[in-house]
Amino acid sequence: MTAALKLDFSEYHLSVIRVLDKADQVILGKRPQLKLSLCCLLAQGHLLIEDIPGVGKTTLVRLLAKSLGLQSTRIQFTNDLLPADILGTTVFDPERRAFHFHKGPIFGQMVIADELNRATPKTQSACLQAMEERRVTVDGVTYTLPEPFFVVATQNPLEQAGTYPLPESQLDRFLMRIEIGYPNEGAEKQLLKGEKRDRLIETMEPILNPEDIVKIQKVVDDIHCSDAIVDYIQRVLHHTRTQSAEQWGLSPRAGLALLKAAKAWAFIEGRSMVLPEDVQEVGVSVIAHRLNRGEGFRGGVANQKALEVFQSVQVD
Amino acid sequence: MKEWVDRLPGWKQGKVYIVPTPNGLIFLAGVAIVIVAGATYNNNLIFLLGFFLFAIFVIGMVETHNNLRDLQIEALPIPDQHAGEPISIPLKLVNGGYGLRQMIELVPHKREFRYGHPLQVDEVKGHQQTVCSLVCAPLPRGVYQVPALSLSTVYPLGLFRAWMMLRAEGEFYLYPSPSGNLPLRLVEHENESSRSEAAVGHQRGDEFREHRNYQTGESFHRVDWKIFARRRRLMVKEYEGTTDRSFSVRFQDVPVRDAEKILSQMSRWLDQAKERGAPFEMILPSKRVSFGQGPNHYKECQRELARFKGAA
Amino acid sequence: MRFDDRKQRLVYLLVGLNLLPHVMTVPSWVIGVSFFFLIWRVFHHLRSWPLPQVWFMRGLVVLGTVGIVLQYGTIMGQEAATALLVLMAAAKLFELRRVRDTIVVIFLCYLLLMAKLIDSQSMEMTLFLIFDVLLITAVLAIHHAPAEQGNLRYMLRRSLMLALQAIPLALVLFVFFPRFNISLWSQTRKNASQTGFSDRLRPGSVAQLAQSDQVAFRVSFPDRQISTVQELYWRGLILTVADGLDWDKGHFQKSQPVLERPMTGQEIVQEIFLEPSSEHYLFALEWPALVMFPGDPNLRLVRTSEGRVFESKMNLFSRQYFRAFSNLSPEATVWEEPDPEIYLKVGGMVSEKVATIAHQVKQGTTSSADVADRVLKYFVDNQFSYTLEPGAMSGLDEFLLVKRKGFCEHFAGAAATILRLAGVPSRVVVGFQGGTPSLLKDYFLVRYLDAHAWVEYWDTTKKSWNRLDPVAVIAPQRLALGGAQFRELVASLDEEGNPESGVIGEWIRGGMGEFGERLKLVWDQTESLWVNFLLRYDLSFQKDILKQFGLGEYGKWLLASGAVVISLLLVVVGFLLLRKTRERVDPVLVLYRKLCSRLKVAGLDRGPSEGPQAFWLRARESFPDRERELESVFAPLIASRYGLAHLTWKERRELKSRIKTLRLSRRGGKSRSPSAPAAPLRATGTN
Repeated sequence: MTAALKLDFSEYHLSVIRVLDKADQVILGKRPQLKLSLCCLLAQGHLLIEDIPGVGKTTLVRLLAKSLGLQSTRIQFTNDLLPADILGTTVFDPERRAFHFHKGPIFGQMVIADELNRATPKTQSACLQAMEERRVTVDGVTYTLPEPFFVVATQNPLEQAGTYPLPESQLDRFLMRIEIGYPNEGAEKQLLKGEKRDRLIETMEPILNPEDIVKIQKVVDDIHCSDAIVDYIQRVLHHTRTQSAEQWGLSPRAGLALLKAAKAWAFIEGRSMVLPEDVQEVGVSVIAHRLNRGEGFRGGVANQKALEVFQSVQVD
Repeated sequence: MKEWVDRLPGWKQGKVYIVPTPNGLIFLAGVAIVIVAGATYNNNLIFLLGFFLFAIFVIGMVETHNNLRDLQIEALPIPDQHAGEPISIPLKLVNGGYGLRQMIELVPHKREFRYGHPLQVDEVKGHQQTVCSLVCAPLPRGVYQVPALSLSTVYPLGLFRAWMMLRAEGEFYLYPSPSGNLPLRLVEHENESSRSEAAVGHQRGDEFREHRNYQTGESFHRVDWKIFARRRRLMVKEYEGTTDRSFSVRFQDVPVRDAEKILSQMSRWLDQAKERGAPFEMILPSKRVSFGQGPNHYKECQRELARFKGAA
Repeated sequence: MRFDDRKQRLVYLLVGLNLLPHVMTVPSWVIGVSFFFLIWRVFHHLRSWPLPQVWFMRGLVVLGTVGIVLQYGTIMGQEAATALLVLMAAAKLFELRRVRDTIVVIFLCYLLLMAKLIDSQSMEMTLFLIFDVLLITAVLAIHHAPAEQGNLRYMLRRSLMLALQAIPLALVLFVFFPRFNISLWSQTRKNASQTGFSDRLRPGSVAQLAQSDQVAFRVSFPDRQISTVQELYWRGLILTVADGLDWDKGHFQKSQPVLERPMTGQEIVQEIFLEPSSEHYLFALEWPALVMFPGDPNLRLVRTSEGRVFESKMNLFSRQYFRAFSNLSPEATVWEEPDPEIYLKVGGMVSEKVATIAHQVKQGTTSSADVADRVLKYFVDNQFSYTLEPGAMSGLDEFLLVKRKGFCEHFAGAAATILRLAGVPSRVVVGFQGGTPSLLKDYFLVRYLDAHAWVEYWDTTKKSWNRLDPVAVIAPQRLALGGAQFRELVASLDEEGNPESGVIGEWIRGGMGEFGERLKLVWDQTESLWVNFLLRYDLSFQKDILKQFGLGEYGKWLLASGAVVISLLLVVVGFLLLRKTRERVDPVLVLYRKLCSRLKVAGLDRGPSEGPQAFWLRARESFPDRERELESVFAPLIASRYGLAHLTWKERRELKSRIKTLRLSRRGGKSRSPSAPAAPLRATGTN
């Protein structure tokens, strides 16, 4: 590592910590979730938040967007939403007598996809395809999405009528899946007493800008990952493939995701190398939604299974 | 029912024993021929070959012995099952040592529990584990300890067989194997006015709910013959309202002297009751399990049957 | 154990490979039948050809066995047994029903290899032996390995590892295993095909033999340095019955040589490593006194015959090693007066002209030595010349009167006949002259190139036999250079005997020839070392070695028990060594494990899935007073295992000693519950 990079490293690390601290003051008692979300973004992955309404999913995303200086767009998914509503359409401009592409809400740096599972599979897959490829093709023309580009999808876990659960292959596109959970007692009281969260977010000053984030992502990518870690991750994958009878094992893509997320976590921890602990910290969020196949998705069970995986794989 | 846990005379758990295989003896005879030939022709190259082969034999012994070192087994949770079928016991083979362990054969230590070919585990890396499933011979109902296993290997050259005896902690239940075709006893509910005590019936006018598989012992009146004509399967019509009923599985309802047969009939009743999703109770001479529903309740009843020791 | 395709193909390959060396020595019909079996089996495998009926196969095998018995008259002889083994190994291929059968075939391959070693112990064979043993062991291992490891390269590596472990034990056994001589098999052989001398000398027979550059024997002189090859005459056999240029051996009583000890001490001692041959001659330097095999102090294996030549009583089909003692001059030996009935007799027709020559030679001489000189003079005066390609010659007349050109046997035969006609008892000696010094000058290489024939005549005054070599005056370079170099010299001359003019041609001939010769010498030097080791190591040598350790007197039993004890020791050492070296482990990981076990002793057990940093934190909580020491071991270990830091060997040693000296007591951490390990997934952030 060169000296310049090292300097960048500590500087960026400090600002990332500042983002965390600031966000922690707004959303109370949710530091682990904030940290995981941030980690996911730094690892250039998309995030799936799954929880009941009203625990602050959207607030969390908006807060992150604001403090990272990202321009955020929001798509509320409903079952009559069409792909064109997300991606954009080509319309005829009579004044200029030309067709003009009207960009949809997907063209944002941080896209909040609210209640993704309410949309029809067709719409879902349009959105997910854009996530995967980071570009959009409409009427034969390809448009590149802005850089950085994050999708944070939220999903309601309650089995409600009129939802279309995401298929397994689509779940795999999300680097991480987190739950927010109820606030603890103290935080809840403060929330009730305190200022309105929206106002706090409105008045917040961004700490980083998009260019910084792209650079940080590069730094994260350069974090050292030793053979010992590669072995460890491989053992985790192997374990899921061989040790349990009822579910399918993790795909190689899951292994890559685990590695990427662990690197980002190591960065947030201020380390230039990945430790097994980093893998374990991000592990549950990364693999839980990939483990459950075929039997429908149940968050709690999946988390427990993922946790068991990491508890039984040996660290050397 | 602890016959399985009997002391195994002479064998110390975890100790590795080793003997040459028949192939090993043939090999040794070959080595002897080579050495005698070397002496006869006073040929040092042949001597060298003979001694080298002998050394291979010795090293093979060491390697075979080491191939079993530091192995442990752990039992995984074993699902309850009915007696009368081969029992599959999931196990975890743990390598506590450094090196690779390869070609391990697992077999129950006692001959009467063996079933089919020995289970073969291709490899376990150092400080790793692997999950495998051992199949045991069918056994009568009861509660069993995981049987002591004998692990053996002939790796790498097949000249020696090393084996050791290991035991894993864990127990499993074998329910009585379901048999008998007496009808399941229906119990009147307080909110139901009048129901026949005999077979499960239904009242016309009840709202049709679903079809389910026909079970032996049920009345043919409820079979949906149209479906039978179409799909060649016996299906039974289930009506809304039947779920309000509950069943009673009682020891004294079976007019047989053989306790095992009674238990088998009861086991079948429990299966049927579970299938219908209605609450049921079970009454044994010594024990009563009151009304309940769901997999855990079913499990509790079946385990009582498995544990049952003779009529009082 | 699965019975799969690839494994079986390997077995066919193995059998084929091990049949190959036997192609030349086993009767061709046995080889033919064996390969027929092999090919049939392979086609059965590849093309599903039907297999023969069992009775048919058994019949064939019985027939084959009967054939072998008929051919050799026995089944116990080495060759018969080898032929039978070849047949059985191939026939067994039809019986691969169970894994056991395949294993037996693999074992038979070991025996096939062994059977080949009986007649051949050359370097090539040794190299083949090493390769083949590894291969057979690998195939054996493949049959017991998990299916996915069935590839040959992996298993070859594996069997190489096995071999490396086995070699020390094999060598110890080799050195200490008591040697004994037993004869279970009669050692007869009929169809040996090696080069060698016959009992007769015909014009051109030595010249033909001398075309071959095959090695006859290697000889070293333990006592003295010999620098020139001119006086190295290796006597092999004596021919006494003359018929023109044809000479025969004649019949003499053969007797056991007498051990003349103490000898004078002036003898030249030679150690001779004889290559396999079909003959019994034991070559020795001129005026041999005695020849003996090591381990045969009573000379039971040697016999001597008229003219002090020696023969072996055993056959020499395999390499042999013996010692010869020779006197420098013929006078040192007590010779019997030659029988004129034998040594003056000239058989067949002797022409007038030849008789005249003999008469001329004899005229005016006073002693037999004079006659001998006159014979040489006759050859010089009449411009006889030496040639490597004498061509066909009808008899004495043609050589002496027409061609006047010949190889050593022509000169020797003619000279001896003239001597006899002139009344001097004479005989022809066949053997070798010269030799090539080895690369390291520690031995001489004598090849059939050096084959030679010369004359011995009876010196009446000295009462001893003297050597007369006409080639010494006709072509002195032949004797000075030795056969090999002389040949090169001749090759580099043109028809007139001048050096060839073309520079390039000369360079190629000379250079390539020299280079080739040098290569041969390099190869021969290695082979000689190997042969030396293999042949010399016998009972007496073993005793010598043990004597050096002061163990000489206790004999075989000590040897045997020593072998057993040392083998057992090696086995124990093997057990200990093999326990941990099976897998290459990161040295840092080894240190980390040490640290973990150290902490475990102190009561802090690392959970299997606990990361190093979490464990460090927990250790710090348990031993708050040892914070700095813990940091000094944990930090570098983590940094080098997971980060870019690299620990040098020294640093690792330093760390190791730090771990060893880590003093941990539970003083500080007593209040904490030691039995509650932190959950491995607990947040361990450092911020």
